[in-house]
Order: sequence, then C-alpha cells, then structure tokens
Amino acid sequence: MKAAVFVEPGKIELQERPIPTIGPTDALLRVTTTTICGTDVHILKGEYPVAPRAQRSRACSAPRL
Amino acid sequence: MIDHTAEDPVAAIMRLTGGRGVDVAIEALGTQDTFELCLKVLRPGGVLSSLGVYAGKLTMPLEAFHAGLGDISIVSTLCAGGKERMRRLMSVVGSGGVDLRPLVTHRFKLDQIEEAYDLFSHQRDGVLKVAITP
Repeated sequence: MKAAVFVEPGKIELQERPIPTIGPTDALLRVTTTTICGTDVHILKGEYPVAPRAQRSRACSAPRL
Repeated sequence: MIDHTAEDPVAAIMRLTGGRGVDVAIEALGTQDTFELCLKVLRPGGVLSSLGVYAGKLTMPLEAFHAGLGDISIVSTLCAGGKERMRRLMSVVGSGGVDLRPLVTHRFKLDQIEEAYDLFSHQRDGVLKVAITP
C-alpha cells in the first residue's frame, strides 16, 4: 500500500509499505477518503516530538469504533 | 454569528449575553489569542473546551484567568462520548441535518500529498479542508 510518511521535519514523502498485520482485537481499515488535520501540519513543522515514520492522522485515529 | 474583523468579539459576546458571558467557549485553533478570547467570554463557572492543538508556549494571563478566582473548567477532551457520539454525528450528517460538503474546498490524490500539505499548511486559496483519496 502507499503511505504518506513523515520523514523528518519539513519533509513528507510517499512510500510503499506492507499492509499491516493485525491481532484479534484490531480492525484493519481501507481508507477511501481522509484529510490533513491541523495537528499533522504541526508535526510536519517539527513542533512535536513525533518519531519519524510514526505519523498518524487524527482523521484516522480519532474515531473509536 | 459575529465577524471578528468587524467588531470586538469579546464586547459583542458580552453584549449579547447581557454582560454574563457564555457557559461554554470552544477553542478550535490552538493559538494564544483564541485561548485568551475564550477565557474572556466565559461566565464564572463556565467551561473552556480546548480542541485546538498548540505549538510553542501557551501562557495563562492572570486577568483573563480572574487570578484563579473565576471557578472555570478548562478541558481538552477531544472525543467525549466515543462510539455513541460518533453514531449520532453520522446520523445527523446522513439524514441531511447538516451539510458538511462546503467545508471540503480542495481535493487531491494521495500521489499529490506533498502539494496538499503545502496548500493546507500555508492556508492558500481559501482552503478549509482538503479531501485526500487513493
């Protein structure tokens, strides 16, 4: 699958990643539409101590299903 | 609705509430200015609901904080209500109770993600929200 990856502050790039394997209490979602959250912009600017390659969009992480 | 470019929002809200202030002020931008404005329009005992994500330093002005005597609550809960809240929200959207489509001002493919970030982070071209599709 394609993934937009936070490489380092100021740099995001599209990479090919394996589809994640999940456990019995997880859900694997196919994203049909998402957005860029203001938080993502803060992360891109390096304003939060987010580890490179670990970015999650709030648009995906917020809903608790 | 108050246009903050046309009038002082604090004065307008105080006028509209008869000098009382509002029960709940929602901060959605994550800036010092909007955080302070929310404090200033709260009634004593009111709730500041902070949804915004801040960067750098957020300071608490004594005046707006009523020096600690304002009896206010500051909460940063983002998804209170969890699954049930989401179900109700989707129900409102699905039934046409609210049309959120005008919020999506730009569309990009995932391949254009860098372009999308550039537009959104610089708030160009009247962007509100971008939709990213595979």
